[in-house]
Amino acid sequence: MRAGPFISTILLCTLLSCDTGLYITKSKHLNEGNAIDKIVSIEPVVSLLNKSNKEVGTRKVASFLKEQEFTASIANACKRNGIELLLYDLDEGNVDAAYFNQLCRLKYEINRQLGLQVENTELLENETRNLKTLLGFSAPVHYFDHGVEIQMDYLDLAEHYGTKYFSVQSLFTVKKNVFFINAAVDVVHSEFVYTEVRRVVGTPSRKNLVPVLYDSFAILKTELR
Amino acid sequence: MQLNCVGIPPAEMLTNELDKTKEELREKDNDLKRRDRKEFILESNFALNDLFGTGLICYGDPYTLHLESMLESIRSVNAEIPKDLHIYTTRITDPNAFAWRDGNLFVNIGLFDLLDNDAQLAFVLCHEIIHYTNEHVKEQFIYRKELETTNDSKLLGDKLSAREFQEASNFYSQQLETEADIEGLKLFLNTHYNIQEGIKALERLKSHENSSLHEDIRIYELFGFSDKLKDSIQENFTKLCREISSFINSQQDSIPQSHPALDYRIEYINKYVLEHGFATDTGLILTPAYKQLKESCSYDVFISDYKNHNYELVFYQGWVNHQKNTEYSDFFTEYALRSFYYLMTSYDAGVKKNFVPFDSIGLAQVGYVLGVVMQMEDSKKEHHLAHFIEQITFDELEDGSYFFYCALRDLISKLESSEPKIDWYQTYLDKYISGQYVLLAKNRLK
Repeated sequence: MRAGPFISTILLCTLLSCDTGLYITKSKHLNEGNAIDKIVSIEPVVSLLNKSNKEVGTRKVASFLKEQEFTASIANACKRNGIELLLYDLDEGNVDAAYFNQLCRLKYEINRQLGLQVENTELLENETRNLKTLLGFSAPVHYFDHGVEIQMDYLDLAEHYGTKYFSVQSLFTVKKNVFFINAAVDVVHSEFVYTEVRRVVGTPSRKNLVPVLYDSFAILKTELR
Repeated sequence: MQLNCVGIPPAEMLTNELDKTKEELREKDNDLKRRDRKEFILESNFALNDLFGTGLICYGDPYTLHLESMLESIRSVNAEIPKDLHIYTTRITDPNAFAWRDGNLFVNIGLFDLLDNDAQLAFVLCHEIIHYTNEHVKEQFIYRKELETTNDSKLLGDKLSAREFQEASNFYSQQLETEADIEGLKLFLNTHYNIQEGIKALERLKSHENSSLHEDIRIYELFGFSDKLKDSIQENFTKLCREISSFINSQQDSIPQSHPALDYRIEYINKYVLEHGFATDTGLILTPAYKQLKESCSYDVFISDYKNHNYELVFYQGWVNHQKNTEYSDFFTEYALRSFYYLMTSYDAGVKKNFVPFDSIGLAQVGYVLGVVMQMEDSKKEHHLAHFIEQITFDELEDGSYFFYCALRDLISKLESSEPKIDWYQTYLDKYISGQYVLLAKNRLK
């Protein structure tokens, strides 16, 4: 089967599902026949905030329960896209010394860089505006030769976990809207290879999350034309 | 030593926060309302899990192992400390330590850098243990809830003063910090650590507080100013730093603080130690640390000499230990100072004559006496220095010590003219090095 129509369908689904809010950047290298087969996901996070932008009481429990669903959905989406997923989560209790020594620091590094990038897009602040005028480009996927750099301290993680790709997924609310973030880094080349921010339409139920996550990992894995 | 986690993570780090919350909620607690209690436990457990998830917390590393052994040693002499305490080192460089509600203690790596020895670290640990054993987190939560629900102050921060607001939003109130200081000190006094060293922890923290503005930074190097400008730039920078420091110090009372002012804490800790006879004042030191002292030097003889008014012997003992440069030389110097004071008083009263401090007076002896005298109050210094100089003759001085002799004379003259904080040592050292005193000595000998 040719990939063209398949990808078009995915993109259409993506656009339909996320209404206006979608922002993706992907490394050209990753898109040109160097697909990801194995990826490490570091502690997926769900943070549902209340009206005063705080995560308190029952919200915390709701986030926690949602996080378990979210984690299961990520595993499922990866499986369906043919990506081997190594998921390390403190809540799952499957962590080791390397997690506390390096993975946590890498997660912090990714989130820090991601925060800088996402803030610059103003996507989260003005999500109701038209994407085209907001971001200044028409295609939903943006390609680059060299991604945003991270520190070069995580080289040995590639050997330890058997893959150079490490990712962070999170689901959070801004002004009552739920956003999904998926970011992947290449620790050997010390750079971001994939960044995706999208608005999830409706409540972040499992039913709504499944297509979003499938989409996201499909774009990450598939060679787009 | 590397700060890296080693081995299998402890069970507390892997416990699911929701399961833990459910389990804790099954237990009964009458201090809090059901709803408040749920909020309290939930917030605390989730926050702890977030903290572990930051990767800042280390286990199994050399620092944590050392802390664990210290905790064990504190616990061995304080049976009331529960056994469910766990201690971790954090990668945070701020010199601080904190206790969680459920018995997890965290010591920042910055604290290791700041403090001088284990005794000071043990003092801080005892403080944190009290925060846990006395349930200060819960007390603070109750206090905050009370403020929120009291009719007069429904809106926290609106109708409350800045200080009250700060008190409520802190981890612990100043009152609880004070309690932790005093109760922690009681735990600390039972341990084998040196008390005098331990209570210096607060002074070390104060020195860190004061060093927040680095006026010694060479600002011109940072910004690449030209040689012409660099002096004036540096001068202005130093001036600015001092102005900011003095402004901060002047505003210290009006800025809400989480802890009581360190000066105040140091004062009342010292006062407490003195009042309870733990200091060298009475010569009665109750801690096991001084068992070691007894073994290492003739402690009993020393103390009995002091009590029997054999001040000369005590003074010599102090001198011997000063030469040995033992761990407790400060302790002996303290006694030597007191003995010296009594000796000089007896000279004044005409009770004793003929006290010759040393057989031969050289550089070291004069230095020692000078060191002892310099610990006295300013008003007494002049008198005792004058006395001391009267006792020594020029012939007794060995070659090098003439420098001290002159320095002492100069010191007395400057004290008489009440010049505060004179830099006498350097001035006379320069003169000594240039050979002026040797020349003077030769002339005198003729």
